[in-house]
Amino acid sequence: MIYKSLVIFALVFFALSTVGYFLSTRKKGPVQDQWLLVSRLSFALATVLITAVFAILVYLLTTHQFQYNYVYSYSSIDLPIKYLVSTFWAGQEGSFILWIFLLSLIGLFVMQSSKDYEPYVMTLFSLAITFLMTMIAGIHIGDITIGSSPFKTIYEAFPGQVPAGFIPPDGRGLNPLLQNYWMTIHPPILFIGFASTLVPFSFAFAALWREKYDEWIRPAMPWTLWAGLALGTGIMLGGYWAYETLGWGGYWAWDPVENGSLVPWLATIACIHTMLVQRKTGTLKRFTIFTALFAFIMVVYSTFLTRSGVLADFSVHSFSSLGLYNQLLLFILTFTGLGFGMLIYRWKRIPYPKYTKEIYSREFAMIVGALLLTLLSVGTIIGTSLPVFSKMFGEPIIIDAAGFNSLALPIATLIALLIGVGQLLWFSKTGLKTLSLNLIVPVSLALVSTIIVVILGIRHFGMIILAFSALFALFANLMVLFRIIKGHAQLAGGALAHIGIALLLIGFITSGKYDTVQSYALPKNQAVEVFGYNLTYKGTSERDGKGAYRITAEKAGNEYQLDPIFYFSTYSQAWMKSPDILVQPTYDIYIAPVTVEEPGKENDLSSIQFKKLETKQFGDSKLTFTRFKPLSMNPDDIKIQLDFALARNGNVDSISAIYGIGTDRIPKSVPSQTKDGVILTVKSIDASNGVITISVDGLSTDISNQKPETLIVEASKKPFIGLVWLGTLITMAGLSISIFRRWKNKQIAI
Amino acid sequence: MNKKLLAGGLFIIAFAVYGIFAFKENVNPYTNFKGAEKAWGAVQIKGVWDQEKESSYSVENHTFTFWLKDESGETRQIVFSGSKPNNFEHATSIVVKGNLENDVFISDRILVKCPSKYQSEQADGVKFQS
Repeated sequence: MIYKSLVIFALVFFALSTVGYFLSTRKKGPVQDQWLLVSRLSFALATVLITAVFAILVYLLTTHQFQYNYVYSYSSIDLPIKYLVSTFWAGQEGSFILWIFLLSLIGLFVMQSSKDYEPYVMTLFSLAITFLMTMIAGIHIGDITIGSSPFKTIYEAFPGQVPAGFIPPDGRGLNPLLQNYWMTIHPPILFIGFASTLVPFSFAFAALWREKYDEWIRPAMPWTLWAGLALGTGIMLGGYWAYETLGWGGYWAWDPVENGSLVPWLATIACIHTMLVQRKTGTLKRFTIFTALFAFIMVVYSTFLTRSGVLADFSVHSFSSLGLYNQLLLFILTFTGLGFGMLIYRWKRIPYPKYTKEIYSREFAMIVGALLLTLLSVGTIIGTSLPVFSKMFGEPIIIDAAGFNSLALPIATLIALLIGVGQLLWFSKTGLKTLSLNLIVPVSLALVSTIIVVILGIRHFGMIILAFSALFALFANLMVLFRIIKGHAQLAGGALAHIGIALLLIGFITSGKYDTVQSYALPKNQAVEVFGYNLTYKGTSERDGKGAYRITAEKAGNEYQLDPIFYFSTYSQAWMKSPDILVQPTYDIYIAPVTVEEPGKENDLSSIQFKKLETKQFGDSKLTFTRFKPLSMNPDDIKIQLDFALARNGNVDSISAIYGIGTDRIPKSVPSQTKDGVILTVKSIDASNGVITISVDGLSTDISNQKPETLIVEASKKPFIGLVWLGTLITMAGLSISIFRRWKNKQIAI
Repeated sequence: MNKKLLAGGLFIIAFAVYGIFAFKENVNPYTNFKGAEKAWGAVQIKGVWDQEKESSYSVENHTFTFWLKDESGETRQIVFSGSKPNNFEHATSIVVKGNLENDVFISDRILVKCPSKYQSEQADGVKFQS
């Protein structure tokens, strides 16, 4: 199989590059140069091979080669090209290829720019890629299979069930939830972030290896910022997708998969700050190395958690295991062991110059901030892993969103304060006096706005404190931004990034804690007032080629159209529902469809359940289960009489049906009939739950004053949710400015 | 011992203690309906939807009522404050969080476990179906 052998060759050459680079670190002179040449060539060749693998999978998917299991499992003929792209990373094998492909491209960059760090950094880089390559190798050694090949054919995937060479006429298709613009771009951006964290990891490891603890920061810095940018953007896109598509109304659920990208991001942001402190003061060498190692280890660890199947019981996403458990475990153990092992091994020998700056300096604020971010990331990953580890000792312990929220709340509050104070300190250079002068404006503004938001309805104590800190951070950084924007615009990245974080926190408060959810019944063509809008259900429509319901929203003469998606997916064998959102400057109206009550459909009288004394309405008739009367409780001849009252047009008929179980254990039911031919039959009795099931025949339900077709929706108003997206965008813009600045002076000073 | 290091250490310990409390307050043990009778706070119960019995959605109360069969085979009524979750019909199992009140399980959160959105159902050994 030529495709599979390309994968194997790529694996071999990445492995060769690892060995070659490692050997070149131990040699000098011409021998080192020879090994370097071998390693570079192998790495470049392996990159070409993985690019070919990437291209082949694209080719197979776009030409619908359904004889391949991956193509069959994730795509179909009817998929438009924009979603055909997504099928590439819809499965594990494809996303591994994407990850490796991105890593090898970044590796080429790093190879060229890392000068005398190259052999050390690239040893780690090639090693990580080699590990990932084994995940898609698909090598069989005896009974053991290493990796799952993306080029497995249907016949290999289902041996004995299909004839050799079998080609299915069409594929299973792509999960409709993934048929979404955001899901097309979210995974690659996130994988760019995952891949970029390997750069600071490798440089930090090289620093320990060479015992040169300061020089690595400069070349690693832009990549760390880049990782922060890509991860942050990826997380936001994922959140936006959840908000826009899933219909539960939120964007963040502290799900293991989400935490798996949040934790490396927090560690990366911590790393950026410790790097800045180390460059300025020469302290914090150990902490910087720790955060750089930790960020990538967390990337690998979350890969392990989400792809090995260990979290299958605890996540909304369940992942079928591809049998990669052992390989993934080896991957995480190797990188944790190498990274932290090396750090511990060198610990005593890493110089730790005394921190000589004042407590009230920007650097001190950054140290505390980095510590808080690290603690939050460690706390989050412990909470995420808890089910897996506690399961070994009995009942699994699961932390839900509320637990993570209360963990994050005080940290977010402190971080917001530090963001404000730290930036003002930087701006005021030194001196308590200038600081207090500079504090006056932002603190007063924050106090006034906090009072306003309290009046507007924020009551929860923790939220008030967080609101104050976030507002303070916002005003302080706005002040800094306004003063430096003239003349020092290239330094604006920091202020901008922090403004974004402050806005993000304010958005969390308003949208997370103060949204109002309610459900409404919208009868067809009748306006119902919802949050000040007149909502009218108009009938069916279509959005993005999917079935939807049309709702118009009218307010003060403006009319808007909403088309929440609601259709039956043959892929999922389920009703798919997606909300539609009316976006306004200060709030979103979020409409999620629940169900449609069709006229007549509710009057299915063949199986109706009753509890005692329960009344149900059918058309304009009311049926009540009035009495349960045992006639004989002899175990060989149980006989029960069930009485009902049927109310129609002011008349009440009583109906008594008999239900019995004789010696043969077969239930017997004696139907009962009213004068005008309504027949009531008891179908079953569930004594333990006190529920009976009956059928009714002959009851006219075709009545003119029947309810019209009614759409039930869940509507919520989310104040200022736009701040969440705006804040993230501004933070990412700030990071981009910083990357641009650091990239220009990333050269390694020798 | 350096004073700053000590302060940092104390800070980390304080956070760790806080973290344990924050988590502990929100831990909901996994159990079945029998266990829920004895439990104090909210619990989580894993089970499958009993489709034999009636399920309904109430617009007025904004609740979805259905019956869940837990892993020991006991079936009880669940009243969930919210609408029927997406993919409910398609769930391989359902986890409800909440309390048992007068024989009815009042739930504020449902976890619907579906054959993944990232990975199709097929793993090795699964039957081929087209």
